Amino acid sequence: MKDTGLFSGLKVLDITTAGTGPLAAGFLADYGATVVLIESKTRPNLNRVSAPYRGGVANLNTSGLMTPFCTSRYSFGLNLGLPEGREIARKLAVSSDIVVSSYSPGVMERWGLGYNEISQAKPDIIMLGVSLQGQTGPRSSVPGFGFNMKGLSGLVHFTGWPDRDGCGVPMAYADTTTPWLAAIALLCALEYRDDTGKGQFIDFSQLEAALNFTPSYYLLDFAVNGRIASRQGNYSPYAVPHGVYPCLGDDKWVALAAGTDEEWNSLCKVMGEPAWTKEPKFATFLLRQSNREELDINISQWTASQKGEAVMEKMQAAGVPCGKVENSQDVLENDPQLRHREYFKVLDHAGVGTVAYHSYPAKLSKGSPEIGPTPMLGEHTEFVAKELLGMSDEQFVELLSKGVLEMEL
Amino acid sequence: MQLSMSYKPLERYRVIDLSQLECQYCAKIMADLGADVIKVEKPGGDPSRSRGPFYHDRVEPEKSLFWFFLNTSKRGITLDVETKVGQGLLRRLLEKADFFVESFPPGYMESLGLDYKQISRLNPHIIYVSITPFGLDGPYAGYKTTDLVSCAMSGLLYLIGDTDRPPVRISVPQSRLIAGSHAAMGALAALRYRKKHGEGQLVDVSIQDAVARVPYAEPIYWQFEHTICRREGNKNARGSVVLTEAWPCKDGQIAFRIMSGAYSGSLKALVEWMAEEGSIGSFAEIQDWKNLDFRKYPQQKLDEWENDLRQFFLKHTKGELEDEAQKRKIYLSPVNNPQEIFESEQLAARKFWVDVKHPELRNTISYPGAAFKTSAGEWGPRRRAPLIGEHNQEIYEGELGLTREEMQLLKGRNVI
Repeated sequence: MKDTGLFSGLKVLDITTAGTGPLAAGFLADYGATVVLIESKTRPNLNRVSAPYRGGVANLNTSGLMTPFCTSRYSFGLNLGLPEGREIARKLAVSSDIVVSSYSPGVMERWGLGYNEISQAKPDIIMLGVSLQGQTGPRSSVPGFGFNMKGLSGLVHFTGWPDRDGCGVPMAYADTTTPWLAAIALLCALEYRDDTGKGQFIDFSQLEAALNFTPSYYLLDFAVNGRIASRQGNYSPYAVPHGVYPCLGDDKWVALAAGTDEEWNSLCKVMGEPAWTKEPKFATFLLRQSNREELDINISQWTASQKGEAVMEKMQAAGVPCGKVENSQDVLENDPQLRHREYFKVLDHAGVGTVAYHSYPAKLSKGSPEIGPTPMLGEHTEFVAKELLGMSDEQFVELLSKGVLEMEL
Repeated sequence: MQLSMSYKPLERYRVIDLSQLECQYCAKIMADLGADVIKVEKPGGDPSRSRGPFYHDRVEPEKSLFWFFLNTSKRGITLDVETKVGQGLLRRLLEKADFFVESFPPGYMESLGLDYKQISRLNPHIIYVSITPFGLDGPYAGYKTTDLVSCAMSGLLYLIGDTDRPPVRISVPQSRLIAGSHAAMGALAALRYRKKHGEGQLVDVSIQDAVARVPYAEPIYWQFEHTICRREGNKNARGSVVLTEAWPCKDGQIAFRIMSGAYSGSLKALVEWMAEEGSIGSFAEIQDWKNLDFRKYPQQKLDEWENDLRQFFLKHTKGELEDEAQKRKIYLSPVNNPQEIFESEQLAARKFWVDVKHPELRNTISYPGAAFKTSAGEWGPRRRAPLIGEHNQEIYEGELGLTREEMQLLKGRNVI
C-alpha cells in the first residue's frame, strides 16, 4: 500500500464503470489513496470490452480504453451477483472513507450497498453515486452512457455549422469534462467531514454537471431573453478572422484569431501586406465581420502553401493567437510544450503493455501524482482479500472455488 | 426555486479572484460552495463584462449574462493592480487569503511583484492558482491563445466537424471552462496538502493540457494501431469502424450508438420495437444477440443496419423516442436545445434551477444550479454577481481600515 502522496491513508471503494465515476476515484488514486476497484468477468467494466485492444487480441486485460480511466487502483475480482460477494463488498464499504458507484439508480440499493444501509454501519461514510440524470425524478431510470449526454446537454445542438444538423463531438465528451466536478464534490465532502464529523451522499447527475459546459450561460440567454442560441461554425463575435485554415499536407490546418486591430495589423504584416488587406471592405473590425467569408478565402490562399507549424510560429512571434490543429500523433509525439510539461506519462504493464497515460492539467508544486498503470482484472484479489479484509488462506481458496472471488485471468 | 444554501463546505476560506473570461469558473464553483470570494476588477469594470449574451440584449457592463453566470456568489471590488498603491492593497488582501486565482500571461504577475515567489513570502499558506494558455514555462509559454487555438493545439478540434469542411469548435467556448474546473480541483487538493503539511503552494494550470484531457480513445488508437482518428461529421470513426452517434429524427436529432457484447441489450430492445412496427429490416438476420460483436461485420453491413435505424428514427419524434427508450432500456437520448433543457421535467423535479434576485433589474432570474446534489444540504448560486465596485467600502474601509478620505483619493486617481 502507498504511504506517500496527498491522499495516502484514504480508503476508497470503487464500484464504477465507463468514464465519470472511474476518473473521480482515479484522481484520489493517482494522488495516493488506496482505491479498490470491484470488477467481475460476469459484469465487465465497459472499458474492458471496448476497442482498441493491444495487438488486436480482444480479452478483458488488453483494452487500451481502460488506461485513460482506471489508473492506480487495486482490481478486486468479486462477483456481486452472488450474496456472498455482496457481503464482502459491504465489508469493504464500511471500512472505507469513500464509496464511488456509477451503476443505474437503485442497483446499489438492490445489492444492499445503498447509502442508508452503509451509513447505518458507518455514519461518516462519503458516498458518491454517479448517474446520467440523477437518483431521483421521472427520468432517473433512463439508462445510458456519456454519448447520451451529448444529446441531453445540448452538445450536439451547439456543435457544427448553422446551415446543417449538429454534428456533435465523436466521443463521450462529458465523461472527461464532468468527472472533475465529481472529484470536487469528494474533496468538499472531506472538508465537511473534517469540520462536522458527518458523511454524506453525493447524488451526481452527469447532466446537471454537464450543463455547466453546454449550454452554460446560454441557459440564461433563454431564461431572460427567450433566445435559443445555437451552433455557429467557427464564427466568433470577438475576433475576425477567426477560423481554421488549410495548410500544406494531408488534412493539415491552422487555427487563427485576431481579436483586436493590433492583432489584425500584425497578421497583415506577417502575410506581407498583400493588396487585398488594404481594401476598404477589411478596414474595420465590423467590416471584416461582414466580409468574413471573403476574408477567410484570402487567408486560406496564403496558408495553403505553408506548413501549419510555420504559420503558427510566425503569427505567434508577431503576437497573433494562432495554433496548428494537432491530431493524436501530434499531441503524443510532436508537441514540445506537452512534452515539456510531461503531460503524458509512459508506463508499462502486462495486458495493455506500454501506454502513455494522461496526467493532470493542474500541476501542484508540492505533491505530484504517482500514476500507476491500469490493473489486470482481479490482479489484486489476493492482496485485497488477505491484507485488507484479513481472510485466511482457507477462506480465500473456498471463495475462489465458489466463484465469489475472481483471480487474474 | 428559492433555496436556503445550507451546504457551505468552503465557508471558512477566502479566495481572491483576479482571473478572466471562463477561467472565472474556478472561483465560481468555490463561491457557490460557500467560499468568500472577492472578485478584483479593473476600475470601470472587468473586460469580461463586455461579453454577451446580455440581459434584454442591452450591451452594458452591468447586464452581461456571461458575467452573471461566472461570478455568482462572489463579492466584488475594483482595483488597478498596475499602480504601486493598487499592488500594496492587493498584497494586504493576499496576506490573509487562502487562495489566489489569476489567469494573466506568464510573467505579468512577476512584473507587478505579485508572483508566487513574492506572495508566498508574505503568506506561506496561500494556494496560488495560475491558469495560463500553456502553463507557466516551456517553449509555448509565451504564446497567445483563444478558445479556438486551445482546442486546436490539444487534439480536440481535429476530431470535430463535417468531412467536407474544416474542423469546427463547440460554439460555447469550452477550453477555459474545463481548465477552470481542473483549477478548482487542483486548488482543493492543495488545500488537503496544506492541512497535512501546513504549507501553501503553486498550482500551475495549462489550458492546453486541460483540453488534451478530453479525447481519451484517439491517442490509444494511434499507439495501438497507428491510426489517426479523423472527423466524420455526426459519426464516430475509430479504427476500422465508423458508427453514427447523432441522428436525425422526425422533429430534430437524437443521440444513439450501436453497442455490442455485454451492452448489446440496448440495440436488441430497439430492434424489438422496430419489429413490432414492422420495420425490422436487415436486423432480422441477427440470431445470437448475446455474442453480437459489430467489429466482426464489414462496414457495409453496419451501414445497412444504420440505414434501417435512420429510417425508423425519422418516423418518430424526439419525445416518442425518449419515452420508449426509457421503457425499453435503450441507450438513446434526445438532442436538446436550451429551451428544451430549461423546460425539462426532470430538471424541474430535481429542483435544479435556482432563483437569484437582481434587485437593480427588478427581476429574479433562474440560474443553472448545483453541479451535484448532496444529502448534506443545498448549495449553488447564493446571490447575483457583484456590481462594479459593489463591495469596495465593505472591503477597503471595513477590512483594510482605509478612511473615507483615502477612499476618495484612490477613486479620484482611478486606483479603485
